[in-house]
Amino acid sequence: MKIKGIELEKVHDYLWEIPKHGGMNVPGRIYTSKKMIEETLQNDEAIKQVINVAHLPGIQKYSLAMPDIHWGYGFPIGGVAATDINEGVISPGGVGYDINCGVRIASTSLKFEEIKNRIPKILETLFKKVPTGVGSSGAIHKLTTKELKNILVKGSHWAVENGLGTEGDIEQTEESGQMKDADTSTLSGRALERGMDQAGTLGSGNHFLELDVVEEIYDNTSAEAMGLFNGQVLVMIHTGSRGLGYQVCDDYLKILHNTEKKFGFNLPDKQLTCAPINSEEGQNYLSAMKCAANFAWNNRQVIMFISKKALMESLNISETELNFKLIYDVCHNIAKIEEHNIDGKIKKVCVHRKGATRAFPPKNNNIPDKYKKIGQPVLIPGDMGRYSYIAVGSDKAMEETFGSSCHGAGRLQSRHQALKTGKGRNLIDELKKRGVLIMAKGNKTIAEEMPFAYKDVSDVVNVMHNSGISLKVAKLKPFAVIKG
Amino acid sequence: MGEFRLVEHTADISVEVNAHTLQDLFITSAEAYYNVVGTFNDDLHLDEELEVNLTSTNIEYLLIEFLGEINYQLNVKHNFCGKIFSLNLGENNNGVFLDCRLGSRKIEAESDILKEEIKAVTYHNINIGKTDNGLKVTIVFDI
Repeated sequence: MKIKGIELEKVHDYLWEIPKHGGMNVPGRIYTSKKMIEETLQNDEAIKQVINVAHLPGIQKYSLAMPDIHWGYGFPIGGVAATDINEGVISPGGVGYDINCGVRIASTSLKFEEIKNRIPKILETLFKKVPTGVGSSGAIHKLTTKELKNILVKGSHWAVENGLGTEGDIEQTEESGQMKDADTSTLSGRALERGMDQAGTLGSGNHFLELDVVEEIYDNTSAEAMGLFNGQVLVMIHTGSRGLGYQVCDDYLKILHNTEKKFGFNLPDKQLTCAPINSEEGQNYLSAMKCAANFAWNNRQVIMFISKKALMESLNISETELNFKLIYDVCHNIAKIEEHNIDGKIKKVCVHRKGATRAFPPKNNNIPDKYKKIGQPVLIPGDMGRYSYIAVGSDKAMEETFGSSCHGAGRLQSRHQALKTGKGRNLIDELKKRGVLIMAKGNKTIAEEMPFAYKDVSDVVNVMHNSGISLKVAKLKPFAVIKG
Repeated sequence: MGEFRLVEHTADISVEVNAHTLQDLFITSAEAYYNVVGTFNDDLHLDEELEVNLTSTNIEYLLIEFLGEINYQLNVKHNFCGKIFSLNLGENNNGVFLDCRLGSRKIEAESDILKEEIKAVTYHNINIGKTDNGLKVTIVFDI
């Protein structure tokens, strides 16, 4: 099959390969279906970006893309690339500006049927308590530089130490909510400045906080381990490192552009600029990225705590009655040093996941004890009108995708197209008819984020499930959403 | 003066900017930026003057760093730099430089003027190319 002049060879029904050609160091591989190729990949430059990533020095096995692939900058969204830590590079473009953008889902003991008449009040309280929107700030007091630096080093642990979470929250967070060896001296003054008043803020764009109900369970054993039951109310939070993360990426792109001659890399896109992982520049970026990742984990932790308080207040119930527990927290924009099997040998590689979720299998040492039997929870938000999924990682993911899976539905329409599609329609009413109440800072965001702007997340999740990469556990349906 | 138009991009916002001269290309790119982030209004009262001085290794990077600077001014300092009084480009021993004077107004972080938050100005496929009428560049804003 040829798409935009690029040859795609079918490996199986859900995996397609771009043969190595030109300056590619490895072939490209895209997890998708024929239907999705024809419907979505024809329309943008994402396949070309998979090829561009294959040019990275030291890239191992394949330049990969998950089924939610769409056109990004540098890497495609949904891109995964692992580079050799001795001979390979680290690329800020392989992580993105919103470092450790991610998702967490918390469970409650609430049943949808019991609270369905109180949804407007819950929604209003959440919207009032959780800062949203462009430049949002002020969830907690303005931090001192010392406090901010503590967050950058400690991640979610800072929130827990300050009474904004529990030890259980830490255990159920990827990396335990803290990447080690985060050195704040690798951050610019501007990065620190941008973090001062944004801890505990949702931001704008595709970030959201929503309440979901468990609609269908596919895997009873895994659902039980996560404490899920049909009709249960869950809280899902999607946000990242806010302005601090954007500044880190921006700062290091500039630094690396200035060292292009030193390293002599010739890459097809300036956004892919990179440095050898073991160079001073590469190590400094890795450290700064860890600081931003820690900020993001703390951010989601603080928002989760605020959400818990908002639910208790709006429903007038106690903490025990709410029984609010973090199921898991995953990041989907990150670079991590991990061990993977490369051609029969265990090697340390730097896995870039840009719009891709870690999906480690059962028994893996890096996942919480609670999930050792079932595999790591993979949280896959869909659009705000249809559904989202919880899945678990598998051995197949370790064999084929460096332990990675999809991260969401993936955009189908540009924001501009979505605004045109939504023009003249009462979108809030349309969502209400689907059983979803929404509060947002502006109608524009609602139009940009409507279900018609996204792929059907079921198609995406099914490709991963049928490939054996991440296996479906439960389907969730949103019923209350707040956005910036 | 140059012209700009929005170009379809699946996840982010892309603008194509055309201008006769390099200086116009920079000024029109800034206008395109403000058109994306806010409701650009010629009557907007300006109450401050800012000076921006940048150096970079090549002209494309300089353009992105210039837009990145006004994005920082808006997102962090809440300076809506709605007017460019002067913009000079040149070469020096380090590469290329920009000296610019901007008219600015302090706005509230959640001002009605703002309609979009640009996380960053990306370097994606950045290339200033020649056309029959001058110069062209396509810029992708991460939102």
